[in-house]
Amino acid sequence: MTGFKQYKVLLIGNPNVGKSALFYRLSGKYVSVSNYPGTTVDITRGKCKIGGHHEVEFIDTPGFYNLITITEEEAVTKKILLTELPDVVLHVIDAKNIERMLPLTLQLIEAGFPVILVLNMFDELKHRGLDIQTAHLEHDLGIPIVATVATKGIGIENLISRIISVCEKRYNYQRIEVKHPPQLENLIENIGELITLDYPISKRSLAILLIQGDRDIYELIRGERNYDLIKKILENLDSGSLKLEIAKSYHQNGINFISENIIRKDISESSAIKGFLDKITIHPLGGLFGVILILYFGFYKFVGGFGAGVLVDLIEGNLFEDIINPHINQFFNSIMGGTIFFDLFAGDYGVITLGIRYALAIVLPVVFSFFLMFSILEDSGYLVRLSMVLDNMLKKIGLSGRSVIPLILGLGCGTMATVVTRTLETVRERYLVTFLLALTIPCAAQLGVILGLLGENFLYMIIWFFSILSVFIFSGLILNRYLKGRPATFFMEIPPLRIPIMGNVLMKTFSRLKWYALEVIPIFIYISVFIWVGKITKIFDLLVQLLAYPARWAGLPDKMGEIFLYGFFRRDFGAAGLFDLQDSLTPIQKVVSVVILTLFVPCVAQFSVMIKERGVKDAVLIFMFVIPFAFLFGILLNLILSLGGIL
Amino acid sequence: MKLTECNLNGIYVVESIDLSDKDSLSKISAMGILPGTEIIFLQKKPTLLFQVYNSRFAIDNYLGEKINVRPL
Repeated sequence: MTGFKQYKVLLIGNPNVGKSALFYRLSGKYVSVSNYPGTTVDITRGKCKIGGHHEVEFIDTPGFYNLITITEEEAVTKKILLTELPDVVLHVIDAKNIERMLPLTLQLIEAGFPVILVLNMFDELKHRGLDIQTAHLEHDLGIPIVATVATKGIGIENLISRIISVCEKRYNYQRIEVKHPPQLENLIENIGELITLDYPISKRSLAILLIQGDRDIYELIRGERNYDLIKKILENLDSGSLKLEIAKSYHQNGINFISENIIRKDISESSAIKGFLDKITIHPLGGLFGVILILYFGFYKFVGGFGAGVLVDLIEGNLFEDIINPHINQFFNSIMGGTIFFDLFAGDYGVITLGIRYALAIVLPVVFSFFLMFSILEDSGYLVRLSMVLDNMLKKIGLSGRSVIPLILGLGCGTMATVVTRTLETVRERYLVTFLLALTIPCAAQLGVILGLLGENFLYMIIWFFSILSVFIFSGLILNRYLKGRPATFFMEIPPLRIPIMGNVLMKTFSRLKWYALEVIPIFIYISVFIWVGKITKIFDLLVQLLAYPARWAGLPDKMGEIFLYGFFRRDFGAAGLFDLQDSLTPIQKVVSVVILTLFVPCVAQFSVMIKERGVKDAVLIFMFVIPFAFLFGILLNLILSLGGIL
Repeated sequence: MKLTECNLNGIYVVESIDLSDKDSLSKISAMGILPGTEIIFLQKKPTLLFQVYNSRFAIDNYLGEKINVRPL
């Protein structure tokens, strides 16, 4: 026994309310991210000791709007709420949008949870000339209320002391009773009385959810002796219009509380520059111009120039090639020189000289600069603008603006992006994005090598870019036409542009980098071992010879067969292998081989995630399509470029 | 009239929401849009953009057509 009392605190709330920033403020650095069992929804947990007596586990949940859930992520949050028996539920809201978010607080109060309402981003509320009388509102609702600015650490001390007092049951809850229209109240009462067993949430709350046709709650009360009777009553209800009526009732209740507690002062306008940037980034043309700027400066200049250029040269050239590798080769040569085991650790494909070198020297710097840029785009509120600007175009290939996020993340790591397709609403959209990620989107490691290989000549880059873009568009158009199901719909909150806070950006970048390192570095090492086995058993020689045929048809040297094979184990392996070969290639060969490699099958890690997310059948189907397609396109491109005499 | 037919910078009140598609209904009410809610219509392109309370939402025409409004 440690002598610490253990408590569990759940953070829930809408997306874009600064929930994660608050989580990091509360839990400190030591967090663990894991999948919720049976899903790939990430749940972040962090433990921290408060004073000498308390240890609190904070659990950050995915975005949540309503107890009636829509997406899988919301369903997970609801499940956690119902099963984890938290000591405190922090409902984190964006203070300036209290009207919109208070209905969920009321639902939580009604369900009987130990809720603390956190009015986050309180500074933005004040900037708009508004103020909330928190003490008064606390009295009205009968639950603790705390104002915070998580990004700046304001209000955190106060929040922690309130959390402790709720954990120790020293706070005297006097929860307000939410009143619904009389007819609805009758119905709620009738169903509530039929529920006899005990549940983690109030019977009243169960009844309200049942009336709205909530399937999870149907499952939950399956053991009730009145189950059939309840079902019969519910079957005769029009759940659609009741849903609306209930939403309206919560909303009206919320408005009544707020109107008494909100103070409006004269409204101070935000700065002219901010206003202009805000407008231009969501203007149909200005927004597109922004996309081009981001692609050019963000990817070509920053990830390509700085990450894949400066950083890679520094670590790969100066550190590994000049200092580490010669020593490693010399060392292993002295103890096992001449044996097959030398090649396991050193030489061209050794675990250290290839596996670790690629992981640390080529991949890590590129992925780091990519994630840094991605976090800045995310925290500034620009990523959602990108979704909005591109929604219309993506609709043409059956996607919604929401898919911008996994697609862009795919430019960092296709494996991570395939996991993130979970945030998309329909299975159809997830399938489309998974396919496009596998076929067209190059990951950061590949991108780094591509930029290194073609970057010196802008024309090569343009040919590569438009080749991939046209494949992206055409395959999207065709799939959209023949895939069953309804196209995705789009809705997204557009927050004001914010200047990202560097500490938070770095925190996010490092947690993504950590995920990547834990996921990737072991694979690099396994693969080096695997390649070693493949080489000594001659299986690889056979596969390399097979792959050399289509390479030859596309006008490429036989050596490319080897690169394509390694490309499967990690896409970046292939790309990096190409990097070593570049001096002997003609311009056309360079462009064609880079295009094939971009389109070629995804790496092992991505493929295994595809199987997990989309099932074996669809994953294999995508795989079997991508290989011949990549080569066919390469052969065609070679023909066009050779005949056209462009290069 | 439908939300898709609004004029830029006009202020509208939501009259009703199409109940036929439950998924859309859930999304619309998650945004806090209910009969009686005030909406300031901001943009038609690249997607519909409007303000409700102190938030701005971008939605596509498919969802926009499910929201019926009248000018305030």
